[in-house]
Amino acid sequence: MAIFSLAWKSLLNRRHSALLTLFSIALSCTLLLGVERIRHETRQAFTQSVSGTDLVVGARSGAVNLLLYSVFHIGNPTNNISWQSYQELASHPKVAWTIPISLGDSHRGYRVVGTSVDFFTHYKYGAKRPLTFSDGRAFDGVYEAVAGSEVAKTLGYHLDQRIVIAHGAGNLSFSEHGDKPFRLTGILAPTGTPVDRSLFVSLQGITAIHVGWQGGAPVPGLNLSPAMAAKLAKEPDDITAFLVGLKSKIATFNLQRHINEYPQEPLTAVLPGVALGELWGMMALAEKALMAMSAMVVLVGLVGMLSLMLSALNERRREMAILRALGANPWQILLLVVGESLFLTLSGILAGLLLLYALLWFAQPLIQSRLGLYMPLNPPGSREGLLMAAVVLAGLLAGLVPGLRAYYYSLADGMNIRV
Amino acid sequence: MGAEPPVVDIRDLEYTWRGAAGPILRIARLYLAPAERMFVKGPSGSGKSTLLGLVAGVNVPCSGTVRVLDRSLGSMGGSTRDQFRADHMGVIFQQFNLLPYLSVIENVLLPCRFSRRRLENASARGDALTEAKRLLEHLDIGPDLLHQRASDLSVGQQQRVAAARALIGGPELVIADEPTSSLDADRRSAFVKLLFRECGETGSALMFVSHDDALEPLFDRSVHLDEINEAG
Repeated sequence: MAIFSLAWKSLLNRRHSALLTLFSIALSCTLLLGVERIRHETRQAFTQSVSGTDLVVGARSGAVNLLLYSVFHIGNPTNNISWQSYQELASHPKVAWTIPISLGDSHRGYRVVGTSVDFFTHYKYGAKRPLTFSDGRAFDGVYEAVAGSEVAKTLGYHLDQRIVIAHGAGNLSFSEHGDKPFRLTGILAPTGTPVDRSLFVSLQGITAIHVGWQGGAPVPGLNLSPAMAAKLAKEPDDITAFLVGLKSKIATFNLQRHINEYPQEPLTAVLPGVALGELWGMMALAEKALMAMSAMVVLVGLVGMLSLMLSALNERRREMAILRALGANPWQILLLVVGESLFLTLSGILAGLLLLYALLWFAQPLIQSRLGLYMPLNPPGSREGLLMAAVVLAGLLAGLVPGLRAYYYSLADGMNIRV
Repeated sequence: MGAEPPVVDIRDLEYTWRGAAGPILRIARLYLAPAERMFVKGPSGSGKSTLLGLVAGVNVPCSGTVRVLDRSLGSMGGSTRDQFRADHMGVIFQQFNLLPYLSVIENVLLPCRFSRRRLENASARGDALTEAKRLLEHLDIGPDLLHQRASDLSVGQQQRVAAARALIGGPELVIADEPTSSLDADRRSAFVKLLFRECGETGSALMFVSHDDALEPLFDRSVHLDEINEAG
């Protein structure tokens, strides 16, 4: 149609201001879609990290806090659970399996998780997928370790790698268990969960390296050989938390109450789903604020387009009169202007989307290593589609303002050229 | 007037702008024969542009009829009227006739984009592009200017390009709204003569509005708007 090629050439004629407008719409869309993407992927990552686990049990604390430190390795545990309580609860008739978790040590910035081999059989992530080894096998001996995929990849570790564990969590640690090195026996396949960023050893291993330590520091002058320490390390005094799988889901609340009212020790048992729900509730306000802000930024971008088009309209009244004289009808004039706004909005969204994916592609490793958030380059989700549709609608409405004005100008001016 | 119906036939026309107290135009009769060149004279504000808008079908009379090529513009629908204008009329404005972002040749070919009839007419002797070049050459626009942007031309050149655009595809009626007022005095009659020659070749009738008395003797017939307009 003649009018569209004219619209295109007219826009090309104003390409500098049009490009700036397009760019501002693109940037605002990148922000909007990026916020939504992060929101969605964060939830996804949290939800994916724990599946098939019925209860998470730790020392008495808030549900969110317990879930965060036990499963996501965010924050620090408030207290430990005694080995005795763990033993008793693990042998509860309704309990199918348990995974003990003992935190507190690290290896070059990665958390070291003391656990049992049950971890490799019962831990599930995503759609109840079990862990698999990309190389090697689970730990067996006291001084054997299994690395998450990212740990092995980033540190360039292979099987039989010698690993020294540092006391305390975090990058900077001054006391290392240098005298009792571990040997890497297995590397896990990537999961996109905190498992990738953890190093797994047996509970005995954790106990062994701490034999002869008191109050978080080695006792001076006491030097135990690794073999000796392994012999001494029978079972730990306490663990940080444990995950519970039940024989029947029906017993969940029952057991939860039982644990929460456990007489020997103040404990907390949480349902991962419920705790996540609580977490979303806490994050909802911040999410909404971020969304509202990015929506405002998009609005600013569209208002920029509106002001550009309105200021161009006065100049273009001449153009409209010429087109009218050539036989264009007022509807075509309306289409000319609205089509331009639609084109700017659509290509702005497209450019914004491309920019978002480019950013994700570049920042993916950084986000993963710094925030522990895996951001896959998935196609836009339904909510993102909805957001984009909303932007198109807003762009269309913004375009109708100069469009209708042009329509009425072309009716009122007729063929008169206003100078 | 011969056996052929007049190109323009206005009867008992009355037009009032919306919100105006009284009518700006009240014309009992005005006609334009095929291939006739009519000079419409009137001072500014006398309703010249309104009259042209009514003939072009951009505006519709409040009462009376405007017939163009024996068809009543007032009884057509809006977009039919717009298409009718695209098919049968060429318009030349006082100035700023051309779309600045198109080349000279693209500007001339514009009517062929809006009207299949004009495209077919223009292609009768080959293709529309050749016809556009021929028209431009006749109007003293050399081949070196064809692909220049319209905004780079002088005012005189722009008016001649506008004339070529109005004439392409042989419309029955060419409407010119003071097309010479932005030209130097010595270029005005040259422009009008060129316009006459091309109108003669395409057989178009010309309705030429101006307040420039010097041009009046060149035309077949002259009408003074103040004399035929009973309004005001």
